[in-house]
Amino acid sequence: MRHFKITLLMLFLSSIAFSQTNEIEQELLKLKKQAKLIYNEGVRFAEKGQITEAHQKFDAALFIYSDFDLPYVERAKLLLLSNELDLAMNDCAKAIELNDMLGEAFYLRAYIKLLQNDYQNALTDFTHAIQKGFAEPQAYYYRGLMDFELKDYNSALIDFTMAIDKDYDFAYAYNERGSTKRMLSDYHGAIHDYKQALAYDSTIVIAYDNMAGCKIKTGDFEGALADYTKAIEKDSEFYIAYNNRGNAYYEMSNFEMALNDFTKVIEIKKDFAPAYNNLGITKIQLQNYLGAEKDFDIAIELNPEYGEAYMNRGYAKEFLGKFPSACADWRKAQELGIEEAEKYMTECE
Amino acid sequence: MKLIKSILILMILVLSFGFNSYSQEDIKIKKSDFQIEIKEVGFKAAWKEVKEGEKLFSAGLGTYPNALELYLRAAKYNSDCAKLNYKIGVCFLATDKFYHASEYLEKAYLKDNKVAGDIYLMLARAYHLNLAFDKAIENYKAYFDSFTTKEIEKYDINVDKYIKECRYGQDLVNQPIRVIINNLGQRVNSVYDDYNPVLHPNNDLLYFTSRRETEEKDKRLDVDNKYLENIFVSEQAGDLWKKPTLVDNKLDSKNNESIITISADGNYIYLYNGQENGGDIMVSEFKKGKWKSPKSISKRISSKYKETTLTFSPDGKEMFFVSNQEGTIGGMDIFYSKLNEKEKWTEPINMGAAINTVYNEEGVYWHPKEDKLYFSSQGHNSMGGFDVFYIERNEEGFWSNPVNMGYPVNTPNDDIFFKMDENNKLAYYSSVRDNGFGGKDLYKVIFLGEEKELKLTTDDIYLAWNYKPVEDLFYVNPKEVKVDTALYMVGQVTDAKSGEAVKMAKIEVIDLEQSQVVATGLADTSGLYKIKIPKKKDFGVEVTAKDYLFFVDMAYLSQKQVVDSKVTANFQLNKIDVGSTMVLDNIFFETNKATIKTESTAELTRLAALLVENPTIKLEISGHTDNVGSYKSNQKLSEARAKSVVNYLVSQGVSTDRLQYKGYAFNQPIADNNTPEGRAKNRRVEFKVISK
Repeated sequence: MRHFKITLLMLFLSSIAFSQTNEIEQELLKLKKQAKLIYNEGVRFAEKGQITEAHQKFDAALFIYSDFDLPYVERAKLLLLSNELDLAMNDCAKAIELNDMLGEAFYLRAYIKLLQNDYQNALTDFTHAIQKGFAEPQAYYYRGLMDFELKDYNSALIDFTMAIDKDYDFAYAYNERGSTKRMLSDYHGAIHDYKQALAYDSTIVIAYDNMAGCKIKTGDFEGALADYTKAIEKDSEFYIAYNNRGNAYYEMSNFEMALNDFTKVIEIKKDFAPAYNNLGITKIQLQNYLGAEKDFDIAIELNPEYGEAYMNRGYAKEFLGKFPSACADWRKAQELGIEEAEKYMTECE
Repeated sequence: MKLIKSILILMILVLSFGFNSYSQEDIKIKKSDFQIEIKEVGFKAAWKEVKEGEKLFSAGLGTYPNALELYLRAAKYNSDCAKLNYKIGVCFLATDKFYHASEYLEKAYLKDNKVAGDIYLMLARAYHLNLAFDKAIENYKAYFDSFTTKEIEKYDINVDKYIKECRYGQDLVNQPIRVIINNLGQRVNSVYDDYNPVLHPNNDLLYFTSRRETEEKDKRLDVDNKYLENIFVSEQAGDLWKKPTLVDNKLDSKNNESIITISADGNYIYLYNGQENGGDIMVSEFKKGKWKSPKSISKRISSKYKETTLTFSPDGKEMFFVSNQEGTIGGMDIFYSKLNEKEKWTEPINMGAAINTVYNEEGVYWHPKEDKLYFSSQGHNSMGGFDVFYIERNEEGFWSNPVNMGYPVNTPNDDIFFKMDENNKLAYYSSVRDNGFGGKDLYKVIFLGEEKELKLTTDDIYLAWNYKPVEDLFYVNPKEVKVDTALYMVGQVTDAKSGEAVKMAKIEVIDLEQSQVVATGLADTSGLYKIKIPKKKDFGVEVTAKDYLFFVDMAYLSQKQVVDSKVTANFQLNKIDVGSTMVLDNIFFETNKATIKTESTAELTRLAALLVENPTIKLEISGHTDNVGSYKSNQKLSEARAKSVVNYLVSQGVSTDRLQYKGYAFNQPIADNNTPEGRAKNRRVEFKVISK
């Protein structure tokens, strides 16, 4: 009897518990549904570009149901648009904690790490994102960027190709793939991709500069000059193109034109040390050794670790007969890792 | 005769001390050579210039630049005079502007290939000085060929040396050494000869010899009509030298004096005095802040012959000097002496044929640290005039054969008085070059090491992302999530009398607008049902269950509250019992007639189905009216209507013995006949179960 009573009591309590659990579950379902509805409102705001309203909706959805993974993801995106990296990172972390199969959360976290120049870890997260089903063209594109920065050009090639396969007019991906091919010495392939990039987006001026770089490698200096000029026409402040065109002129022994271009670089960007180095080298060719020395002085002032400038300045000083000082510069160049300086030092002994 | 004279002069000048040696005919320009056929304005003045120029030309080398100036002005009147062009070319050869010589000599030759007996020689010299060695050789040969065999033998005409110099020149020019040669500038150099640079050991003073005009000395030497030698000093100012001044007059008298060298401690200065004992080396001591009067160095060294330059070993115990004393191989030679145990200079010995040549050697200089001697020679493999050479002494004490310093340090002109610094990186000397300011000039030579690669810097961006990042490229459009927004109609079907659950009742939801069933559900054993309905609106509902009369009604869901996506509608069914009645609300007749309207089909079908599913029941179909009109008419109408229903059912296969019909007119009202609504309710058809 006692046993029976206990059983009855247990059954009674269970039924109460079950009833309560059932009620809690029902309540939870109600909350989830409500949160989803608000989330969807946020999505609609986001689609219309109403960021503040969207953000508020995502906040509200999370307020109702804090374990809802998707609003963290969407909120993280909005925070990224406002450059709030730390907050966005927190949201990504939370989303992953709630659902480690949420590829987009890994993608966003990877993107934040990219912005923080943490390339290796960004690469890892992009891979996770893709493996977990976030196979958007951007995921492949950014992973390709990481491959490139980490000098894994074969992987970069694959990723940029994937990005293009998923989005045929992804102009940036064409340019990056072109540069990858360039690093792999496939210059003709690179040129083809640069042309494609420009066909889809003629504002990617860097593609002209890159194309020119490839043409130099293939010996087409005239073609390279034309491309550099095109880049400059499209962006008159593109000092890199001026610098590179100057280099091309230098290689063609057209030192006057090289001088003009390097001077232009400095007009645009006064603190671009390489231009001073190149200017100095050109002046050496034009036998203006004093002028060259001054240019190398500036290059070194701008970048005290500029080994090439030390080496070249030593050369200018040698022409000026300032031999002990030239030796000092070559010694410094050697310390900064310029291997050729070592053999110059033998003249100082 | 003129030719012979010129050959002799050639020979003398070749053998003389250190100047650019060549000879030229002193042909006279006649008026008839110069005057253009038709007399023009300006001839008089131009002719005057020619005559003045001729005088200066005849005076000697020293005034060739002055003669040149006048000739060039005269040439503006007549630039086609062969002799004038010849004279201009010859004058240019004597200056540092020698590269212009060929232009005028060629013109002279073209105008008159016999303008002068030595035109080929002059052309050859011009080409030689300009490094056009092939043309030079051609013209040297032409010059040689212009003589008869007899003349060649008689006057010992020989151009072999010049031709050899050209060949040496070709070799040297093909293997240039890496140097930068900078003129010390107009402040230091003059339009006259400036040579023999001597740096003070402190490197702050530069002494040198110059044949420039000064107030104190305006005499000219007969041999070349150039001003006497003077010693100048210039002070260093940064990378440049200040304007030079004459040295202390203790060092520099009114005679011909040239600086030779300074001792390593800077306390002794050695000079050449051209007037002393045929040309001697003197030494002056710097004491108590002044230079003392120079006196001759050791009698062992100074002879009655000419001693011109000397140099000491780094330890000061050995000496080389240049002299034309007895025992020379030819011209000025290099001699050697050293201090003995008594600190006296030993008898000089000639350095021998390996070092000295039949031509002149000059400008000795011992390297400040090494066993290396620099000197200039017109012999060996000189490419013309004096070239700089060096010899080295090995550990055994033997001096090497002379090595030419190479081009461009050496040129076909005179390159002489070479002084190297202790690091072998810088040197000073004198030369005649095309960027000079007149005559010999002082130059600084910078010795470059191996050719070095200059490193251009590129700073390619490569990635469009790095060039112009697109801030929102990462953004992927969000997607809405699916939310379960279905609406359910829920409730319970119960027995109208007992309230017990009616199991397995079938509930059909009917969209009256579309006249179709939009949802169907089945109650469970508890009579509970849940049906998903498309939207919250009013539907018709038909509920059927075994042993129960069907139920048809409206579910006014639009007015009901939705809770958790559910609207509740409960239904009560009446069992099929004898005496159970049911109003057939959905049977409609034409007004005042017993004709059934087509919209009644559904209800009639349900009734027929009820009879089929319950095959034992018998029904009384009764018609009823409101109280409008007579009893008779109402009774008739109500009966006829009941009969119409029965007829329909019979047409559907129901046996007639299961059906009765009756018209009750207004005898059995179910609502108030005083209201239209009540009257409408009373106008009805019912059925009653009369047996099971």
